[in-house]
Amino acid sequence: MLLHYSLHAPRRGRADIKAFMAAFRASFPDLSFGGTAELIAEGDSVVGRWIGGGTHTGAAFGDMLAGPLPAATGRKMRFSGTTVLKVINGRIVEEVGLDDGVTALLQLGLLRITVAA
Amino acid sequence: MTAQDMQRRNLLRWAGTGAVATAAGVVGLTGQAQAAPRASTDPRQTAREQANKAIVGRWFDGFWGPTYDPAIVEALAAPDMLLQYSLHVPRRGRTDIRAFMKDFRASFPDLAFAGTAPLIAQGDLVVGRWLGGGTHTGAAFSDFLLGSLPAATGRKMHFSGTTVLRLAGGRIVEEIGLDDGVTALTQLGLVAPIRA
Repeated sequence: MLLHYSLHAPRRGRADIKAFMAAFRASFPDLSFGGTAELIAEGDSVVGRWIGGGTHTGAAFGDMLAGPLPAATGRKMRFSGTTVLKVINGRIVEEVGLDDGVTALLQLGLLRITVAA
Repeated sequence: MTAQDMQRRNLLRWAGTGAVATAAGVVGLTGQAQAAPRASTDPRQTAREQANKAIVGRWFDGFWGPTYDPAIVEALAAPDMLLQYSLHVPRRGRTDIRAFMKDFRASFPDLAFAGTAPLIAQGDLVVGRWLGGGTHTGAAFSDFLLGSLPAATGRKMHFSGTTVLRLAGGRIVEEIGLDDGVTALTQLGLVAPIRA
């Protein structure tokens, strides 16, 4: 399986995917996402819309493409996204998601707004 | 973006001349079928779902493609259509939506977006994934939620996104899209990374 979200480095295979989620939850222990609308399915594809996030009370986090977080910044992220999954023979082979990265990274202090003249 | 550019980048035209949906269900020009990702069309899909995809294909080509014809708004947008992308102020109704696109193209004259995967449809909903952008060679632009651009910065944006559209009675009622805003706004200099 390929797991690829816009905020994160892509992951491939079960071991890599388990490592991703273990590290994500070690940094954000209250991490939680939920659906905001019914799933949309056609053929092998399923589309989900979601919102969620967590509080960075745990370990340092190095998996955001935008930059690393030192341990326990206390910052909260809450953002939405849209994910397209491909399901073959009852298993997920691909999960490709677009995060509202601007919202998440501003909240985490990894991005700043530059006021244009 | 020309048709040739799109082909080179493995992009799909959504609808266009003749071939809205091939037998394989690929949405795009017949000549570009080989560049298209594997079709996902469910053979049990209803005629309405197929028709909705054809309408969204025409909309993406005519509203978001390299050439914009304002008549497409009259033809395919419901009178009170909601247009809401994460980078932009939401718009409601045909006049507002035409004003949005007129201003966007006055600022980015080469604006063009194209599909990166077949459309996905269920019930009243159609999902499109896309890639595109443009060069800010035109007017000042103040429709981004996070900041304004003075005229002709020369900056280029090229980013992807995913859009969910809702249709009723053969018209688009709602178009809600998530832009890869980190990419677009960084390229435009409206946001910048903070490195710890």
